[in-house]
Order: sequence, then structure tokens, then C-alpha cells
Amino acid sequence: MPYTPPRYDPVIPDTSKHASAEKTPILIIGAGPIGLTTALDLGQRGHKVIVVTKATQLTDGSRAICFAKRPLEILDRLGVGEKMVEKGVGWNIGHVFYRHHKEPAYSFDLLPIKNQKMPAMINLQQYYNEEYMISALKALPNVELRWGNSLIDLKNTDSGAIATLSTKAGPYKIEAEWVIACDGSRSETRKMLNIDFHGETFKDNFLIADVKFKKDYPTERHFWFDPEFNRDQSVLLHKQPDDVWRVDFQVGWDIDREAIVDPAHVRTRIEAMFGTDVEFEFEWISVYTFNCRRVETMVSKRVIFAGDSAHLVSPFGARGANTGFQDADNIGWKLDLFLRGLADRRLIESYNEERLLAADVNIMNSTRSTDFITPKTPISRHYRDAVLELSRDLPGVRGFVNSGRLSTPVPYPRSSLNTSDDEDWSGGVAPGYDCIDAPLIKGGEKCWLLNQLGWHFTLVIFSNDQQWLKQIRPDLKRLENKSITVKSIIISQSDLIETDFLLDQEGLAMKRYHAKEGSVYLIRPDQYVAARWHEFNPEKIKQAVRTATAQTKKSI
Amino acid sequence: MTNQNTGQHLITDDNLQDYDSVYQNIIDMFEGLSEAEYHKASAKLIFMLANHIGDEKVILEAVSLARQNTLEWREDKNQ
Repeated sequence: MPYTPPRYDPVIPDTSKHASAEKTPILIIGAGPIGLTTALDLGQRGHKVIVVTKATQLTDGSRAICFAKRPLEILDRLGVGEKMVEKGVGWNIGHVFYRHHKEPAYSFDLLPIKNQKMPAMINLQQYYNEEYMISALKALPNVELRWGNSLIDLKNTDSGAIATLSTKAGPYKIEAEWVIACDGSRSETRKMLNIDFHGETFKDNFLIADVKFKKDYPTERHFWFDPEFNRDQSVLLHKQPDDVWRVDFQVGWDIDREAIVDPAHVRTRIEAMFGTDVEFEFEWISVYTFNCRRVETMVSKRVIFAGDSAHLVSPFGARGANTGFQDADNIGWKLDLFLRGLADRRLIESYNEERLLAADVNIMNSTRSTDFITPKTPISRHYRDAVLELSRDLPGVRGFVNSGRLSTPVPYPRSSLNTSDDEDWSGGVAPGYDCIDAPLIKGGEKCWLLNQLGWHFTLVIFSNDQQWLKQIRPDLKRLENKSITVKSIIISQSDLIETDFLLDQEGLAMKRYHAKEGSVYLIRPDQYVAARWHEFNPEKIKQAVRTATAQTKKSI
Repeated sequence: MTNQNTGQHLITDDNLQDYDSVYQNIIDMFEGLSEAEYHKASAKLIFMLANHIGDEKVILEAVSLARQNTLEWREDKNQ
């Protein structure tokens, strides 16, 4: 049976308690993956959050299906990552085929560095991700999810925003310190604030079918250029849980949009691909045209845009929702510090600085992939085909084959929140880059480095020197007790007595972070590196925390 | 020094940092050119790179592979 999305009763809030408007620090518009992620983050940090959505059911059918490693790590911090990996179909390898040839023209491994907790990618229907997050939110009494509440008006000022919402019982107002617009590509919030959404539409259409059938087929990503079952066009195949397959047919620009989604027509396409002896049913059929667009700024007074409301990319590369989760991860800790009075607007502006850069990098990659898949001119089509033909004989040109560059975190090497290295590192994880995972042992049990980071600023200290660690303990205590708390963890390659530490038995953490005895990393609450040193200096650490929270001008 | 192009043979393995950027720049080169112009631009690109490589043996290897590969695909596509 195709999936039937759960329905939710519209919530009619009791407005009688509030004289004019109900007050909340955080109002989230939209209950898709990005709205729910933001709610889970800020909710678990203890803030009151109201999420409103005009929907009364989960999204069904074809939406996001590829969840990349970094979003899985973020969702793991929020408590739903393991469940997603358990249900999802994990994969690291992608194959690209040309015409009828069984040998791939190009293959890639998305997880060149093994031994990390999360796989490079899982395929999972978006509705499972949403279901898991909604059930996690139920444990948070400070988060309210209001189905069937539509935004009909929004007043945005420098000190707060007043939203008018409509329910079956009539309109009411919410006065929020911050509004986070996670209401998707057709964002009402964006329209109400008259914010432009510029970019490019690609002159091509893609027919997307989620098809349910049993077949032994590898779970890797398969992409064909010009296969026999879709001549002159491309096809993308992904396996999802519950025997659902996502097939994405490139169909060209001039099409009859109604005829192409006719199940009888799609049936012939599926049979051409998998044979006529396969019994299947459709879970979803639709036709898409792709856009690459973004807003000029992701922070407008007290309204913050996150996810598709802020930026759109073509799906080749799975950079849509995956980017949105990282928006949520970036804004969560910044809003938390702002609401607790520990940072000011400059920290919120750094969200715009970092995530707009990420949006641009994603749009660039997505545009390049789309230009390869849908060449704009006859000459670029010839060049594309030349790459595919030559790939058979010359491995060195396979790097040009572009069927989508899959989502990886965008680094912020020039972020104003970074403290630049003042020593030679030549390796490791530089300031502005996301932390890489490594296996560790804690009290005899296997654990993962990334699970020890996040929520707070964390100092990662690499040392085997018991005596020295004892000496710096009072400093670590003082850093932890500061208003912006800095927790510390110690990574050691030998067993230490009287100290909590993480055993780096295989030396992988040490190697991946290019650490020496006494090296120190300052990690942001979103698991990005803020600063690092080969020596421990509390003054430098305090200064780096001020820089990473946009409290001072960059020190030189 | 990045000048690895004076070796004995055509480099057949990965040798570029950023394939996507190079690809985009080559495709962008044709923007707004007529058909005759883009054939000329392609030829100019080939001659410049051949001069830069400076090793006739390597150039000939590439020339013969380009021709042979193309003829083989002609056959493949006629099948």
C-alpha cells in the first residue's frame, strides 16, 4: 500500500489569555524538516517555541530522500539521527553509466575517510524524518506545534515581529522576538515582506516516480546518461526503504505536462527499465522544473530565512534539504546566546554571512551539475558527450563527469567568527571547517568524537600528560563557569588516572586533527572549528570565544 | 612547480584540482560565439595547450587517442 500521511487536527489556541497578542521568543513558520529541526534545537536548549503551519498532514510522496552525513550528524545531536540511519538505506558509492555500457563511466566514493559514525548518505522518505522529529518534539513541553494555523499578516520591526495567524476559529496575533521562516520555496513570509527571490530556471523537465516493487538491485546511486530506456536523456535511480524506488527521468523542455504523468505512460517507462515481469505500484508521480534561486539576505530585521524559503537548488547533489538542516544548525546556538543576553545582533548577522556563502556554493555546484546534465547549447552538448566517451579510455577525464556533486558541508574559511591559526598546522581541521568524526573509547565503551561535541563551545585537548592536565584543571573549570560556557574534553592515547578522558586507541582523532601533545581545538556549538593552538593559553581561548560570538572586532 | 607535462607519456590519471571549475570555464568560453567562431576558439585552445605541453610525443598520443576513441564510439552508436 502506498504511504498514507498522518493527519493532525487543526490547533485552535486559547487567545482569551492574551490581552492583544500572545508573546513568544521564537515563532517558526512551517513544520517541514527545517522548521522542525530548528524547533528541536531551540526547544532542547529550553526556549519557548511556537511552530505554526497551515498544513494538517505530513508531506506525502516525492520530496527529499537523500540525507547526507552532516545533516545526519546534526540530527544525531538532536536525538533522531540513529533512528533515521536504522530505517534508511545507507550508501557511499555512486555509479554513472553512459549509454548501454555496463562498466561505469565514472564512480565515486562519498566517504573517502572511513570509520565515522554516520554514513555518507542515507535514502529515506522525508515523511519518516518528519515523523521522527514530531515525536521527539512531544517530549518538549516548551514547544508547541500548531497545525492548521496559516500566516496571513506579518509586521517586521527592528525589535520584534507581529504575526497574524488564521485558524478555523478566526485570526489571532503572536508577538515574537524572532520569526524563523521555514515555509519552503513558495514562502508566504517572503512574499509578505516583499523579499525578492532571484535566480535561474533551467529549461528542462524531470519526471519523478516513487515506485514500489521488490527487486535485487544494488543500493548505490545509479545515474545514466543517454541509456536505451531514455534515449538522449538521463535517468537517476535511488533505493528508499520499504522497497520504494525513486526514478528520475529527464524528459526535456517541450512536454505535455499532463500526459507525461499519466500512470500508464510512466508504466511503459518503468517496464523499459526493469522489464515487464516486475509487478509494481506507484507511490508518487510528478513532473518538476528546476530553479536555482536565493534571497538577497537571510536575515531581515527580526525575520530569519532558513531552508528552501531562502535558497533553491536543483536536486542533483541533494543540496536542498541538506543545506536547510545546516542553516538550522547554524542559527540555533546563535539565537540561544542572543535570547540569553550573551550575544547581540552581530552574531545573528554572522548567520547571514556564513549561510549565504553556503547557499552560493550550493547554487554554483548545482548549476554546474545541471549544465552538464542539461547542456544549454549544441556545442556544450558535444563537449559533455566528449567527456563521457573519453571517460571509457582515459581515467583522468572522469573527474569532468558531473551527475551531481553530492552535498558536503560548506566551510567558512573567512568567517568573521574564526580566529586564524597563529602557528603552522599543515593539516587537521582549520578554523571555519566542520569537525570530522573519529572513533574513541569512553570508560571502556566505544563512542564517537562528534557525540562529545555540540550544544556548547567545547575545548578539545589532546594530551597524554597527566601532570600537565592536572595543572590546567583550574583554568578549564574557570572556562566552564563563564557565562558563555566552554566545556572541555581530553583525548588521550594512553590511559589516564583520575581524569575523565577519551581514549584514542587507533590514534585516528589525533591524526585527523593533526594534533601534537598539548594541542587544543576550540569547537563551536555547531561543531565547526573556531580556533586551534599547539599550546594552551586561557587568554587566547577567551578571546577566541569572544570572536566566535561576534563580541569584538577581530583581533590581529 | 606544477609542470608535470614534460613526462614521457600522456597523463591518464587525475591531474586537476577542480574539474568542475575547469569544465565551466571551457564551456563559458563559447558564450555568444557563432558556430564557426566556436570551432576556431576550440582550435585555438588546442594549439595553445599543445604549445604549453611542448612534448610532441605526448601531443601525438593524445591526438591518436582522441581520433581512435571517437571512431570507436561512431561504431558503438551505429550498433
